[in-house]
Amino acid sequence: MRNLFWEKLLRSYWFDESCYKAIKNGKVKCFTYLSSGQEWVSAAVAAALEEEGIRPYVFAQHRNHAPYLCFGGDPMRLRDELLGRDEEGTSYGIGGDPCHADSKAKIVGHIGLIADQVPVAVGHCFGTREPSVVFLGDGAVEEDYFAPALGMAAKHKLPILFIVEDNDLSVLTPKSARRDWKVVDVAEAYGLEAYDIGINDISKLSEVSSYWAELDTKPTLLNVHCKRKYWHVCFDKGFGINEEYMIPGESHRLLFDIIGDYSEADVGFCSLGTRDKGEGSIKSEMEKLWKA
Amino acid sequence: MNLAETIRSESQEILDRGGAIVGQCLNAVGFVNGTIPEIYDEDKIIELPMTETAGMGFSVGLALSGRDVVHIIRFQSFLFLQSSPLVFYANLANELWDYEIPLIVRAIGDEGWHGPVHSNCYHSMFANMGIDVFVPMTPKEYTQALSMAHGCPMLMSEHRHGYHLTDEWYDALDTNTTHPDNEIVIIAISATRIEAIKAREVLNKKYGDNYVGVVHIKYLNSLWDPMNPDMESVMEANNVLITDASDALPGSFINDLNAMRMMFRKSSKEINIGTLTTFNSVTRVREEYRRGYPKAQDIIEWVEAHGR
Repeated sequence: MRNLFWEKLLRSYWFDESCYKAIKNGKVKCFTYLSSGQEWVSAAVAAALEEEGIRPYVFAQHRNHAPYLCFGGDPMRLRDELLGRDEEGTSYGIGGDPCHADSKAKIVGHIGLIADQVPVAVGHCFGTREPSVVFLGDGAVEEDYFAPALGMAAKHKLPILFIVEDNDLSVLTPKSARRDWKVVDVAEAYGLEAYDIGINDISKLSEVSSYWAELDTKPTLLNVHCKRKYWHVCFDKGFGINEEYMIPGESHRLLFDIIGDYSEADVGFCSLGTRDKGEGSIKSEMEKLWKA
Repeated sequence: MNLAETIRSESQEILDRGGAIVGQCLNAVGFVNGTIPEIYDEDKIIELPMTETAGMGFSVGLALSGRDVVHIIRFQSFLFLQSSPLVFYANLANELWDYEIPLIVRAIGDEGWHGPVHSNCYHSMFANMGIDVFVPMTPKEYTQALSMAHGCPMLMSEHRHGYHLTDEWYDALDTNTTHPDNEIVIIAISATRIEAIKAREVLNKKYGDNYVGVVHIKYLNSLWDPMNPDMESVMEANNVLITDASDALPGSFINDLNAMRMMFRKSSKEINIGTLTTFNSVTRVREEYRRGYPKAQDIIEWVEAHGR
């Protein structure tokens, strides 16, 4: 599982690092929502489900690079969409960054309104009765679309997993300024299983995801604490690193940045060769994408 | 069979081929004026909780999964809150990702002192957004509208005041407006079609046969659509009056009429185009609210003020 996890995490991380460079040098002009800092969430969930043999339908939100790449989306098409290439992009070059879809990977497109994917996912899951994973943010749970959809998922006992990537920011406004309630309490009140997962707690996230996959996929919500590395949105005229992310010594630094704390045995790079080689080949694969 | 019975029959066919009917309070309150089959099956007649945006999102997602979905909105006022997943997700999904969303939204207009919120139609703004909007008032029109479904969402603007109408009612009308003696042509939409016919009977008795013609509109996205009657003849008249149970005309109608006026203008004649709709959707003017959608008397007054 750890190989899968690191492979997915590295792919998403290096795609976004290369994308950030492309934004800075004006190659990408559209509003771009980078997953950097949060990719460990998608990587852990995707790896856990893949280990269990589950290929879910995936519904993500505007910050969707990590879910898209970790669940098997084509990075070339993602790049092409960001570059506005109409025939090759995920959404005919007109969707910008929020809308990526990949039918082969069962990744369903998002229209750009936060949380509107939640009831669409619930309705779709009702129709297919197949496992589905929905990614959304801590701001999205406050939207009108969200709570009633939870109720419908519970009422119809749908095989659906909601992953709230709780980076504590709605653009720049922290949760403390917006609300006093917790989404796990809301989810439990609606009849879902609900868990709070601490920052960088890969083990618990993987364990709970595997549990969901293995044991009949009841409607479940995981509120996963994480931190985003870059600004809410980056584009050619405005980009930067989230100030909070740069505070030294804090545990919310990108997991990859603190990889030195883990031994090679922990992260299990055996089949990729040494950690450096494994990382290097994925890094150069993603960097090459942006040179094309 | 009247319109309500036809809707029920068509709904049964949709269910028989694996579709679903989704909405609030479907089987507890008269099965939506008798327009849906009286069955209790959680997989076919899906009761939604009291939620507008999430409820429509659910129907969009269900249609995306491959089922034919009929989403019912009991009063058109709910369209405002429900519109987001329809206008954004369902309406754009085909352009962005080639998705098919076989979704029929039945939005029902009404009038009759249910309060300002439940008394009106709002179909025009959705035609402006590119959703296919049909306004059928007879069984044949409803069936014809359904046959136009092609994997994209459509809005069926119904009116409770028309549920009793039959094909025989329509066929018995002399609605031919190609007579060159038509002084005034009324382009009538939704429940105002009934009122336009009443007004026409009074006016033609008073001013002569063929003084007033009535054109019955069934599709709001373009006046030129084959579902609507031949519009070229409309421009033979001196006056055109558009009546609707909604509060504004679709933008496409205004564009089409201006274009037609330019194309068919006779050398020395200006064609007078007027509109009679409900007042503001949520009106502050009590008298206008009491009037509701244009009635036969309103139409008669307009014609007598503008005709020769």
